[in-house]
Amino acid sequence: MLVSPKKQDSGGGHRPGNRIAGHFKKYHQLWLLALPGIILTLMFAYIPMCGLVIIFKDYNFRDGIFGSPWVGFKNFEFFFANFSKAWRATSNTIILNLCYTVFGTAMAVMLAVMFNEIRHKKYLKATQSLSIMPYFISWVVAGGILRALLNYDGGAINSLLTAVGFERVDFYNDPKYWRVILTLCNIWKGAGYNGIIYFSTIAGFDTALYESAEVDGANLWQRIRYITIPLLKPTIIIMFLLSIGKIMSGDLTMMMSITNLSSMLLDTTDIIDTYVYRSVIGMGDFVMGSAVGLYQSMFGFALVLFSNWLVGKFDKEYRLF
Amino acid sequence: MEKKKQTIKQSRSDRALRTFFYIFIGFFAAICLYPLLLAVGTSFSDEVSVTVNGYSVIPKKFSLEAYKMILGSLGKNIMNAYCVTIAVTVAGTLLSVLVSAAFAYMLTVKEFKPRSALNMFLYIPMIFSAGLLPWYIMCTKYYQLTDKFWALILPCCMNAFNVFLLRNFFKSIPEELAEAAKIDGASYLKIFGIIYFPLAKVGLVTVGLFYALSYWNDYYLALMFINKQKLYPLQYYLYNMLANVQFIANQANASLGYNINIPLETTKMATICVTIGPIILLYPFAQKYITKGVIVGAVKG
Amino acid sequence: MKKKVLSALLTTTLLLSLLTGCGSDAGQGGTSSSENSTASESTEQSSQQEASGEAPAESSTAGENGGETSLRPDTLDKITVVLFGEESPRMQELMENEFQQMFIDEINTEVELMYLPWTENGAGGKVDLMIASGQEFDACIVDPRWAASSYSKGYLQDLSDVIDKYLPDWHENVDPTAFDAYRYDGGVYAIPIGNKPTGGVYSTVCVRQDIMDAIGMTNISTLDDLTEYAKKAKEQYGLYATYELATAEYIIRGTSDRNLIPLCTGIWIDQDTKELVNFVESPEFEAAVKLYNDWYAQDLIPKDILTNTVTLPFQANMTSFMRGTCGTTLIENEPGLQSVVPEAKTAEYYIAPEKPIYKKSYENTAFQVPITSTKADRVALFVNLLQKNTEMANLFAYGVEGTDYELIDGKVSKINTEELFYEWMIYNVKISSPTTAYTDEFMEVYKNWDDKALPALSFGFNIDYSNVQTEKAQIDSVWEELATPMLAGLKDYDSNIEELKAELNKAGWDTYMAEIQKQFDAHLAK
Repeated sequence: MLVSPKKQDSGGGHRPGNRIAGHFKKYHQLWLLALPGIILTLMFAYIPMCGLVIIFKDYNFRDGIFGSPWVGFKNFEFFFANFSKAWRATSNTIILNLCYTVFGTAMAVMLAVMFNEIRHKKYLKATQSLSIMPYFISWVVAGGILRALLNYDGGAINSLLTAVGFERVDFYNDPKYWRVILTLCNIWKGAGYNGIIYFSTIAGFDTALYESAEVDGANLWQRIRYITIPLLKPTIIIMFLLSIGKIMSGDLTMMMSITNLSSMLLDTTDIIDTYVYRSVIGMGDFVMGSAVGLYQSMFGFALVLFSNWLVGKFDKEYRLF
Repeated sequence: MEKKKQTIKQSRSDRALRTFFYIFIGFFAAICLYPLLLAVGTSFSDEVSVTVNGYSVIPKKFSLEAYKMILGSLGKNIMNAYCVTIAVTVAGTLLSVLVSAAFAYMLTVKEFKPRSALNMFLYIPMIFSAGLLPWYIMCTKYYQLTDKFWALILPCCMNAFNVFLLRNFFKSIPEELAEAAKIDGASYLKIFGIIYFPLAKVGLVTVGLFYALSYWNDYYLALMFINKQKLYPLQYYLYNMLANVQFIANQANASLGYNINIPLETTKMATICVTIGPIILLYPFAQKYITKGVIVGAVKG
Repeated sequence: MKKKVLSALLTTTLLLSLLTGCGSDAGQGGTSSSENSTASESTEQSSQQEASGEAPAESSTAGENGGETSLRPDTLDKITVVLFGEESPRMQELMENEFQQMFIDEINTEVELMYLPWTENGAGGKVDLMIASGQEFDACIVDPRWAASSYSKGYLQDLSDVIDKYLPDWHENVDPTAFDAYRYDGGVYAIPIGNKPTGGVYSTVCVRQDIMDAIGMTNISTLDDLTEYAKKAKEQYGLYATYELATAEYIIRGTSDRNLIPLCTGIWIDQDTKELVNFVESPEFEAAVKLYNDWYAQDLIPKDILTNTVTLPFQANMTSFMRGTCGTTLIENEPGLQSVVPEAKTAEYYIAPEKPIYKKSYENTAFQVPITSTKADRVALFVNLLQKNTEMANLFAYGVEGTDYELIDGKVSKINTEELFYEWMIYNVKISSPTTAYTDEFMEVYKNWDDKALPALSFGFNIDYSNVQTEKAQIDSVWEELATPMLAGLKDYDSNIEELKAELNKAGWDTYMAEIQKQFDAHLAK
């Protein structure tokens, strides 16, 4: 309840006291419904967030979070000091995340649409259950399996290549393959799981639309193209907006498990998280890591605000906020 | 509906397209199945043969060492661990779905002005994280979560992503329904209870599934807050055991007689087999509820 | 429908009340924990009674000990010790009975163990969080690198006073130079435990003796010998040379006459001239990289040297050599290797055997005491007890004689294979009984292994990076990206060395080097 008066201001008005009372009379049930969520978010997200001041400080235990001396942007220095490397890490992160989002979403939507057309219940159940299995396979194990596929000596793909008379490919020492490989891995792991979102959205569509389209002689492809995809658009946009905010964050565990952070592959695989890890891990310093985290968040936030505004230009209802 | 569809004769192009869908999906499922088979096969293999020959679907040399390792580490706590995990998953999922649905519903009420601010309020924590240290200090020192059952639920009870997802599902419910109810004098609470909650069943089940999976798979909250063995969930045991095996296997110097016989790779695979079990049970159950036509029926009726 | 709404609302309110109930849980938590402590006190009392009622023979030994050391505190207190891994069932049993008994009898202290996963062993893990948030515990095992980071954050207690006073037996059984690894600004911030030879560790190369015999080689003392061996092993057995980088000490040892000791990223110490060596500009770096380039060209280095994560390729019969560890390959590598290749034998050789060997502060496990603890004296007594004498060291590492292990000719044959207090932590070459895996000949050599070892200049030199954090972070990342591929043999020396030098300079090499030089001078002055 403490938060509500602040939120009131957006209402505005000539007699604020009355307005607030009126607002509450009308909406108290909505506030009640939202209250648990608001409290939880405050408790576990906003209040700890005050601790973010730590990244502008030279943190030590004796003085605590608020007593430690200020150091300004010193904790960011290590990252931006070598600008070309910081830029490479940033652009790699963005490129990879764009690949993941675009191709991942495309695959998830495709899967959902296809699942929707499967008429054999058992086949649907089996394939759909299988498609989300990779979600449960940790990156560490996935990395091991990938190695079994790509190894120079005895890897499945290279064995196949030599069998058909081609040269072997040294995947693990050549950065140019890795954007594709990483994207494929990401799709493999997440498409089935994300497909559930689209599949259950399609399940909510009005079947009457399809029936009348069918009566009008629309074939399957047309029904997908002109009914399913347009109806999925709001969901796709929301998912896209949600992932845009994380465009600057990367999955360290995934990179470590799949490439072992090999020096030979850094040109395409060095993302912000791995760059920070490689630089700072020797000192076990999590403050510097958090500092770069803020850079990632700020950038992501700006992008979200921009894309949200852009989306709003076309249709206000598609906006995130 | 099924029958109606079948009576209308499928055109040739439709049939071709659908066949392609069947094949494509089968292919994708196979790609997902293969690593799983590798995991199962490897988990039943002897560690030495795995290190020397790599993973294989059919064990080159059969061994139950990995499962012995898991059972050994769980020991007599196995029932307790399962109970904790199930309790956390059930209570957590119910609570999360309720809290999220209530919040998401509020976000869909158009005339409610603060909702855009609250959208932002919800979204910001998705991008900005507090950092581990302040979060940990708040949770242990001020909320006193150490060794509490609720420590395994509350910190991740509200997931903004899932709330947005639910908001999206709620939006697909025709507004006329709520309007009509309002004219009949229904309160917001009532509209939420009798229209949104039951009609967005598909969405609630989907989000519930996501929550359930995240509670089931979570070891991190236990790692942070639980010191009492009684409250260890299953995943925490497995996490601890894997970390332990990894450590022993890596410890080259200083150790006395540790060697590659430590079942490292096979245990990793075995934990997958152990944790993937529930999804084989849970998912088809959720699938039953993700079916067509719920909303349409409601509008017509 | 109405019923459904009602029930939904009911559950909501129920859950809400649970939610708010949790907020007020603080008070309850307090009482329950105090209940716990009273409960444990009562068990203490009962166990004490058992102790006094149990064995008169034991009480006489306790009396003797009491006569020797008056250090046993008068009041019973409790310390919480953090260890990593899993508490085995046998350990649980012993901690409730025999071990706890011993702690109470000897040092009047109840010891409670808290186990965390091994992933939390190190800076930034849960132990750091626990200290930072003021959660109470009294000790945790630590290694020099982690201690350095914790010290700079102000997490650790200066133990100098406690060490003088409460470690009487420890001082007899443990090498006091072990403290040097934990010495900062005159204070000592952890109590080391265990005592194992470390002289020349990693300076030997461990090879397959069975292959040596088969190809007719009798000795390896130069890098040329090693190359010849590796080539033949590849030709005849299909083994790669190694997965280790060219910075391995046995390789550098063979590249020149200088005695170099690794210090930190890019800096080695010349043991004779007492100078810091910029490794990248040294002839040793050039020689080592060129050697690896040759090996790579001859297909002796595996293509996945930087990506493969197999933990022990030598044991898996994938490589023909690896670094040696003070002759312990007999115990460490051979059994594992033999499960793959039954006829395999291993041996360690010094490259450049005429050169001296050095003691370095690797792998020194110790107990840290967080600044929040008030019981450092008890922790010291606890560590002292673990290293008191043969009886105690064996008890805590192997368990109760007769039940958990048997002594055969002074060697331990285990009956219980579950882990108790870590063997590798407690093992003290002066007092611990070796297991039956150690042959007599081996023990002879092993015990005296350190006699000919000289202390390395890096020993006890703990660098404080706080002034050059930014430079250090950048140098580490440049090193990883440009130097590592060269040291793996993947990139050649001539066309890459200039870029590496330039990038290191850009990363602030001069500042970094100057700072470490300054600290090193101060260290030498002491």
